Amino acid sequence: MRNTTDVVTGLLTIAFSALGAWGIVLTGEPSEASVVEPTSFTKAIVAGLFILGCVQTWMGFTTKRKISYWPNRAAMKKIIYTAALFFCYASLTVALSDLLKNTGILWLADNVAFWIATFAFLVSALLVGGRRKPLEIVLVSAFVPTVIVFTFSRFFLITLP
Amino acid sequence: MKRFSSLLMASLVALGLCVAPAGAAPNYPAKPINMLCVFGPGGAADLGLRVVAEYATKHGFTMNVVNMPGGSGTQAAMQVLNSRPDGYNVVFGSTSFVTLPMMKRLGYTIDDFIPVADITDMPLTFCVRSDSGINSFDEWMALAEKNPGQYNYGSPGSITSQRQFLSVLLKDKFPNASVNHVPYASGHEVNTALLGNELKAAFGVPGTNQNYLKSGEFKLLAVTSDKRLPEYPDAPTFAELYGDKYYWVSFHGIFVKKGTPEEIVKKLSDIVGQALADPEVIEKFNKIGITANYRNYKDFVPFLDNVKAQSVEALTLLGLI
Amino acid sequence: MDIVLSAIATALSPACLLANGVGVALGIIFGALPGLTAAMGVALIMPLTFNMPTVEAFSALLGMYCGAVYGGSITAILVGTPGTVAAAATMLEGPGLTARGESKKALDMATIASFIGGTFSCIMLIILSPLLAKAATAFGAQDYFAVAIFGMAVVASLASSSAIKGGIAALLGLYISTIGTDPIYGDLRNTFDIPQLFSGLPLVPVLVGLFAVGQILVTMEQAFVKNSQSSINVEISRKGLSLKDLTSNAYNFLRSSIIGTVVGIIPATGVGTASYIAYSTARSASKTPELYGKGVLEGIAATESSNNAVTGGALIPLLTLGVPGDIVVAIMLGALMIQGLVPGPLLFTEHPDVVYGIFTALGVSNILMLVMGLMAVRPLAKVLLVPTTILMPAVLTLCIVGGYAVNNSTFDLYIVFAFGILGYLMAKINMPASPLLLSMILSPIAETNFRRALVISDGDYSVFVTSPISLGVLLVTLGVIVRTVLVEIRTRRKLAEAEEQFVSDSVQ
Repeated sequence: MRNTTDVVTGLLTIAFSALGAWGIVLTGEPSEASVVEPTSFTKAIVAGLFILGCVQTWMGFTTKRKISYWPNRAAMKKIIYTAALFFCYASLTVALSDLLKNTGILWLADNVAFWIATFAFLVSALLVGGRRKPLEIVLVSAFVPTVIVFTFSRFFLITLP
Repeated sequence: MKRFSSLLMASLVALGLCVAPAGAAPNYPAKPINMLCVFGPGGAADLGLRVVAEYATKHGFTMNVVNMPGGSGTQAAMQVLNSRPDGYNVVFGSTSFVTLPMMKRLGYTIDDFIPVADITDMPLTFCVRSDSGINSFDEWMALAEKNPGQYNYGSPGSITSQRQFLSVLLKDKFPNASVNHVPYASGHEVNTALLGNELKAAFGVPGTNQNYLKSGEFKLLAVTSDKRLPEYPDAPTFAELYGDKYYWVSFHGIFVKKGTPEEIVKKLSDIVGQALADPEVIEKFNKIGITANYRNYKDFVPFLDNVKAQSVEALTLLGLI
Repeated sequence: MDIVLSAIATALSPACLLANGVGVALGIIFGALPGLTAAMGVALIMPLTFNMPTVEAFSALLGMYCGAVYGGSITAILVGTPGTVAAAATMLEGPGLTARGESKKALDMATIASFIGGTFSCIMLIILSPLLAKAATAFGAQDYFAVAIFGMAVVASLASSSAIKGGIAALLGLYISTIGTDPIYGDLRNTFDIPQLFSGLPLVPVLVGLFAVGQILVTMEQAFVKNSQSSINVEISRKGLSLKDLTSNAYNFLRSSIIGTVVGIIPATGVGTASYIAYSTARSASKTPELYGKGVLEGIAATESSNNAVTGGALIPLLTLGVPGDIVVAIMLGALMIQGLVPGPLLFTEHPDVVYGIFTALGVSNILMLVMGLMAVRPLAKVLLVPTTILMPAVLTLCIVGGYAVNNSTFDLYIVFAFGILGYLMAKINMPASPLLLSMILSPIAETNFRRALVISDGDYSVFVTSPISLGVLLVTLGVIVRTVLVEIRTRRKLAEAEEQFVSDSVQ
C-alpha cells in the first residue's frame, strides 16, 4: 500500500455512494410517471461515485510516488482540537439560544447566547493556538463578540441567536 | 436558619416570577414580535407583510420581519413550535403551510397552530399571450384536447395551488385532455417562459402577472376568485364558467402556537385588521399588486377548513398523499 | 434630452450620492464578511428604501450590490477566505499573491478590475438595453441546459491537475444538489426524512464551511507547523500596480467583462458562474497557464472584472422585461414594484427619468467603489499584522455569524461545521473544492431544465439539437472539452520529454 490516504479517500467515496443508494431507497416511489424519474439523476451520480471510488482506491494501491499529506503530528492534534472547539461553539450557540429564548426574560433572548458562546470559543481557541498572556486572551475574546453584536444589531439590523 | 430559608423562598419566588407563565401578559406586546416569513425577501407576500409590520410598529406593536425560507417553511414552523406560546413568535405562511404536513411526516400539522389573521388572498390568474389569438378558456381547452401534450401551462413551483386547482378542474370537466404542468422556480420565470413562447399559458397570481397584463402582452383568460377582478373586468371567473366549486384564493396569513391565550391572539388579530383598513397600507398593497383581505381569528378558521378539504382532494388526485 | 439631463442631475444630487456612498460602503463590508452576501445586503436595505424617492432608493441598492460583489475579494486575497460566492474564484489566486508580499497589488487589481467590469456592463446597459431585451426570453429550457453543461465543462478544465479527485468532488456537488425537493414533481428526495433538508442544502453555509472554515483551518495548521506566533505576512507590501500590469491585461479585462455581462443577462446564472468561466478562459488564453494557482494578477483581473460585469448585465433584462438577471436583481424588482413602477418596455417610455437615473446611479456606484476600494486598502491591509493564531479564530467567529444570518437558522451552523471539516480534508488531500461549488450551482439548472425541456416537448429528445442556441452552445462545449484534453496530452508529453532530456543530460 503506497498511498494510504488515497486509498482511504477511495474507500470513503465508495461508502458515501452506499449512503446515497440508501437515500434513494428511502426516497421511495415517484408520485407521477414521467419520462425522466426524480431518482434517475441521483442513481447516475451514485453509480459514478462508486466507479470513481474504486478507481481512486486502486490508484492509491499502485501509485509509484509516496506522498504524505500529514507531515506534522503536533500540528494535526492542534487542528483537531480547534475543529472540536468549533463544533462545541456551534452546539453551544444553538443550545444556549434555545435555553435563553424560553426563560421569558426579555433581554436575554437576543444576541446573548452568541456572545457567551463566542467568548468561550475564542478563549479556548486562543489557548490552543498558543497565546499565553491572560489579559490579551480575555480582552480579545470579549472585544470580538462585542463589536460583532454591536455592528450587526445597530447597522445591519441582524439579530444573532 | 429561618431567615436564610425565608430568604431562599423569597428569591425562588422572585426567580419564578421572572420566568412567569405566558398567560399573565396584560401588557402584550412588551418586546418586539418576531414575524417569521416563510418566503424569501422581495416577493409580493414578503413585501405585504413588511408593509403591515411597518404600520403595526408605528402603532405600538413592534414587529421584526425575519425571512426563514429554510426547509420549505418547516424551519419557521419549528421555531414557533419550539418557543413559548406567548405571542412573540408568529409565522406568516400560505397554502404550503397547510399542505406540506399532509404530504410528509413532519411531526406537526396545521392543527398545532392557532390561525390569527389572514392578510392577503391571492387568486390565481390564467394568462396567455395576446398574440396567440385565444380569447377564452374554453377555446384553450378545445385546442388542448385536439393537440394532446402540446398545450402546457407553467406555475411557480412543483406543487402549487395552481397545479392543484387545474388538476381537479381537468379531471372533472375535461377528462380527455392531456395537459402538461411545467414547474418553474418563481413567477418571473413563468412569465419569461411565456414571453419566450416556451409555454402556452402561465398560471400565476396577479402580483407577478400584472406588469404584462397592463402592458397588453398577456391576456387574462380566467381567474379563480369569487368575483371578477376590478382591473380586468373582461376576464370571467372559473366559478362563472364551470360552477361554484371552482373557486380558490391562496391565503397568506399569520399563525401562532396552540396554547397562546385568546386575549393575545385577539390583540394581534386586531392590529392586523387596523393595518389592513388603513388607506396608506391599502395603497401600498395596490402597488405591490396584492389586495388587503382581512379575516380575523374567528373568520379565518372556517376558511382554512375549506382549504384543507380542497387540498386533500387535489393532493390525493395528484398521488401526493 | 432634457429629461435625460435632469435624470442624471438627480442621480448626482447630494441625497442620492449619500445614499449611494452609504450603500457602497456597507456593501463592501457585507461582501468582505464571510457568509454575508450581496442578496442579503440588498434585502436588508430594501425596507429602508420604501419611503425614499425612486432614484435615491436605487442609488442605495445599486451601491450595496456593486460594493458587495467587490468586497468579497478583499477577504479572499488577504485572509484566504472568500467573502461571497463571487469571490470564490478570486481565492484561487489571491492568497498566493499575499504570500509573496504582493497583497497591495492584488487588492488594487481587484478594485480596478471590478471598476472596469462594472463600468463596462453599465455602458452595455445604456447602449444595449433596447436591443438585447428580447435576448433574455429567447432562452428556452433546452438552452439553459446547454449553458449549464458548458459551465460543467469549465469545471472539468479546472480540475485537470488531479482528474479523479476533481471528478469525485464534482459528483459530490451534484449529489448535494439533488437533496431536497424534486424540481419537477415536488417529491422530496434524498432527504433521509430530516425536515431541515426539505429545501436542500443552502448554498451560503456550504460555501462558508467549504471555503472559509476549511481554508482557515489550513492556514492555522501552517502556523502550527511553523510553531510561529507571527502574522500571515509580516511585511505589508508597498509595491502597487504598475501601468504595465494594467495594460498587459487589456484583452483580459475586455473578454472577462463581456463574459460577465452575458452571464448577467442570462437569467438564473450569476456571479459565481461568471467568475469561474472568465478565470478558466483567461487561463486557456494565457501565455503562462502553468503559473495559475500560485498567484497571478491575470487571474484576479479575470475573476473580478467578470463578477462586477454581472451587475449591469443583470439589470438589462430587469429593466427591459421585468425579468431579473440574477437573485439580487430579483429583490430589486420588489423595490420597483413598491414604488409603483412596472418594469418592461413601458418603463422606458413612461418613466425615462427613473431609467436614466438608475443608469447614472450604477455608474456612480462603480466610481465610488473604485475610490473607496483604493482608499481602504492601506488600513485594511493592517489586518495582516494581527498574529494568525488570533486572527483566524476571530474570522471563524464571523463564519458562524455569516452562516447563521442568511436563513436565520441554527441548523445551518452545523452545515458550516460539517463542510468546514470537509473543506479542510479536501484541501489536505489535494481534492479541489471549486468543482464541488460549481456543480452545486450549475447542477440544479442542468437537471431542472433537462427534465423541463422534456416535459415541454412531451418526451421528444431532439429538442436539444433543434434549438439553435442549444446546438451552438453544446458544440462550443464539445470544443472546450476536446481542447482541454489536447492541452493535457501536450503538457504531459512535454513533461515526459523534459524528464527524458534531464535523465539523458545527467547521464552524460
